[in-house]
Amino acid sequence: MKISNRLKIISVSAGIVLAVTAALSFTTKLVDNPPVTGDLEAPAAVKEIFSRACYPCHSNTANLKWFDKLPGVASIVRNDILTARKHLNFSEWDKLAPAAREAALWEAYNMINSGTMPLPSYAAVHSDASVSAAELTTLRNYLLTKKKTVTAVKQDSIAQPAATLPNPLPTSLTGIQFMPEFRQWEVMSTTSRFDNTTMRVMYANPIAMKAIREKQIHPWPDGAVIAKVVWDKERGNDGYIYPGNFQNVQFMVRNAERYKSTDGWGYAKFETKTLKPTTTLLVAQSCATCHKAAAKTGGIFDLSTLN
Amino acid sequence: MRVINVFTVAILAFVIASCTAKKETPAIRPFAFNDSGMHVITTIINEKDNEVAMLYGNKAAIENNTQPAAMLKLVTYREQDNKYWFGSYINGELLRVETVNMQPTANGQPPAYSVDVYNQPAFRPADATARTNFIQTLDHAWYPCDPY
Ligand code: HEC
Ligand code: HEC
Repeated sequence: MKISNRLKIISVSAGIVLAVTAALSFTTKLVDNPPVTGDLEAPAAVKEIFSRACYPCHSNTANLKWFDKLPGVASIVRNDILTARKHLNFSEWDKLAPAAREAALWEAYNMINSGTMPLPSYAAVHSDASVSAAELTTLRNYLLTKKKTVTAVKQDSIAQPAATLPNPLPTSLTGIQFMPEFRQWEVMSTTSRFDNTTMRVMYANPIAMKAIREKQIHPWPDGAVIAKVVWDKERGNDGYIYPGNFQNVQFMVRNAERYKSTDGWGYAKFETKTLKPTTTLLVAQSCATCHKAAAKTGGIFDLSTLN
Repeated sequence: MRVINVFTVAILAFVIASCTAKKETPAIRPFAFNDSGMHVITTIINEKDNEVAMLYGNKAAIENNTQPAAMLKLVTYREQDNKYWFGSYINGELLRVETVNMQPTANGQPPAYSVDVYNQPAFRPADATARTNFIQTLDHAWYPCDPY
């Protein structure tokens, strides 16, 4: 008798706790929805995909499911939304310059295509968040309408002034000093971008090159360094595209321990002919966020594959 | 019922995610061109033919590409989609290596032009003089650390 009474009390109180939790979950406001200052402008079919799969985190119109508000889950979801908005907010589209809007859309596509977004933990429990192959095609076709063509015209062979390296060599706030020796390294690849109008040459230091040849890039070994040189494209009279204005040199330096907070890679960018080191710790975080889309190759995008 | 659904979905999704998340090591293309210590002078994109070429030179060629020890190699690749970034083309299959050698040879005066063709059976070499001239007159891309 006593035992069953106790059980009754326990089950009743458990029931109350459950009911209260559920009620709270249905009614709690997880995050404030600030006003929409200017929504994403895109064709309806494109917008539908983003609003279904991405707006729950990347907009000011978070419309959450009751189970997102369960204790334990709620704080994670809340944190995801606040972080996501800081990175990309489709409800404050007007705050981005036109070029930044386009860059955000190319990045959004690549984040989905690589399986990085929507966050896998979220997609696992929200069946409506996943983006189908047909929808990816819709997005790709839309982006192809934004493909860039080169209009800058190459001047006739004017000798550009020779470089003079700054002395001392510049060092970024991430602790990476400009490495002129990349000129001695082997070329890893060259790319031509059509989401902007730049062309690049990538170099790999001997440690990185060895890792590629031996297929030891999960993870890349400490000491591997990749350099990338970026120029604006220019079209010559002969129709070919040539490297014009020099933009920057960027480095990724592997040190799993030291650069733990940026997935084991240290980032640095040296801009314009003066090689201004512009990479703060905050900027390095944004470098690392985008490079998550290359997780399949250990964070490095520019490896040619056998198709 | 709803709760069961959510959990079933969650568990299923987790299982599927942990299977597919296994790092499928991608087939990285082997490096077909050995630069033998030469450096890139410039890069040229041929949009019409979907090709990209890198011009390499030895030390002598970087200083002055008509002096006797100068050697230039124009290495042409097919451009392919960059698998990891829609918005980027990357060098793919090696198509040909054209060499302009200023080393005096036994059987004639430099420049000596030659072309090695790969993966491109239908390729017809163009006029050697015209190609030599094209290759020797390409401008250097601006690098912040040259000469290094
Ligand atoms: C569950 C919440 C959530 C959903 C849903 C979601 N994201 Fe994200 N997203 C995040 C978070 C959190 C970050 C920041 C990640 C980091 O810092 O590593 C982020 C970062 C990004 C970034 C990087 C922006 C930058 O800083 O450069 C892009 C692009 C992005 N998301 C696109 C998308 C797209 C496209 C979708 C829809 C298909 C989507 N996200 C759905 C939470 C989410
Ligand atoms: C919006 C996404 C994005 C951001 C942000 C970003 N990168 Fe990258 N990065 C790329 C892509 C895409 C490539 C491949 C480039 C190409 O194909 O031309 C790349 C390539 C590189 C490479 C050559 C190695 C590789 O992965 O192929 C280096 C080095 C590099 N980035 C450094 C940086 C640094 C330093 C920063 C921050 C200052 C940064 N990146 C921020 C997208 C990004």
